[in-house]
Amino acid sequence: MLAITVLVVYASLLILVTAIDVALYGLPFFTALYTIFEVKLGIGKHYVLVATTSGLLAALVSDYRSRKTKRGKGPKP
Amino acid sequence: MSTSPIVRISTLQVFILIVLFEIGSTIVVNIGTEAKQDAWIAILAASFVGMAILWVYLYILSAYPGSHLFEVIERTMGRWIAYPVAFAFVLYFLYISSRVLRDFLELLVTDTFPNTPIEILAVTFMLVVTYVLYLGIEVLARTSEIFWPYILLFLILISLFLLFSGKFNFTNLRPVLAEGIGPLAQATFPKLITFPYGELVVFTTILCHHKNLRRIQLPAMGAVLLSGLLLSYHSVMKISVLGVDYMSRSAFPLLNVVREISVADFIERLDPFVVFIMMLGIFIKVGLFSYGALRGLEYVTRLPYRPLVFPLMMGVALFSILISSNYIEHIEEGIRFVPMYLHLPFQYVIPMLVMIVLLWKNKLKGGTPHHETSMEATQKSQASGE
Repeated sequence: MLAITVLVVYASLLILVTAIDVALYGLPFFTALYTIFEVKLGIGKHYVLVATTSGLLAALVSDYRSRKTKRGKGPKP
Repeated sequence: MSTSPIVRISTLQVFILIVLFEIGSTIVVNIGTEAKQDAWIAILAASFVGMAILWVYLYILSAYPGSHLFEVIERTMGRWIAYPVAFAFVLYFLYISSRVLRDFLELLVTDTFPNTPIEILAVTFMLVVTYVLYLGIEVLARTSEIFWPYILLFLILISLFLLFSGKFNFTNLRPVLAEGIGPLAQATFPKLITFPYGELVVFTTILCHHKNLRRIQLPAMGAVLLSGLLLSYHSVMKISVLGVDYMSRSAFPLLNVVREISVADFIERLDPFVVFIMMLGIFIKVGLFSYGALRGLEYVTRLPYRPLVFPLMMGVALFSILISSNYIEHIEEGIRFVPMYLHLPFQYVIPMLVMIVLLWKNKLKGGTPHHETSMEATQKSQASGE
């Protein structure tokens, strides 16, 4: 659930940022999206991508742990 | 309703948080430039609008003490409206958090770390915010309480050193209102009333942590007025030291002002003061906006917010880079798009609508105020064993 929530938030923010570019510069949606990834992420893109991926992994781990706890400790309180 | 444990912040902490939140990034960047040498009047005028909108937020929150904005929306308009609105607020808070972070990153890259990739700065700064938010809003409030005297000291020192350097030229402030109130109105609406004053909307997710909302009305208003006075004073300082033309062309005028300081050819280069002021201000601002987003997400998903802190804060770091390819584009978006299409609806339109619905409901109930007193709310929560 956590990982899905995080993914939904990332995707919604990406759509928002792209929509702002579309509104301001009149670019087609997918061109604006392509521009964001090609131009705006400069030489340091791997740092932020690693950080974001680790954030997503943390959410997945948290999901896994909560599920394991629920299975192992019997019914939910 | 909330899944968080009970947390409390004091009146002094609310006061300090509001002042630091307001002056955070605003004191360093350019605001009210449309009014030229009258920018300080525009800032002061906008602070009264800020107090009015804060009153609206407090009115909304006092309808159901202990509830944040999204819970109030649910109780007044129903779940089907509250959930999408809360999710929209989550996106708005995260987006503004990214924008605020970008402001600071640009300052760092321009002045302090010219050879460091901006992404590294974004991730490291957000790791600190993650840690504090993971510990809770109380820790953020206490952090601001600890650093508050340093901010005041640095602001006073900058003013004193400028005075001793003989850099003030008050003729730059004249003529006053030469073109009437047209430029003032242009500067105030919608920019100044939305940035920084309307951004107080994030406090609708935070003030519910205070024990008694009635008690913080006056301190909160006082904090907005104090921040208005501080911002107005610093606008006077920037205009009188730099002049209108230089100030309006500068990306970080306070930085340029501080570079003018030279006392006895010994006290010079006080840029770290400005960086420190902005760092703390941005830290508080990013922290509060992110906390608002986390509370919204907690409300929508019914999950505790702590496991979401790290993933979302890394998202803020990523989006602070993605929102624009350079500082010019970032400012352009901030001037042309954000105030009108994001700030106004979220800071003014939605809270006003909620207030109108609350007033209408009160009227339907026979004109008696619907507002519970804080004492009643406390008694209820004690009765329910919370």
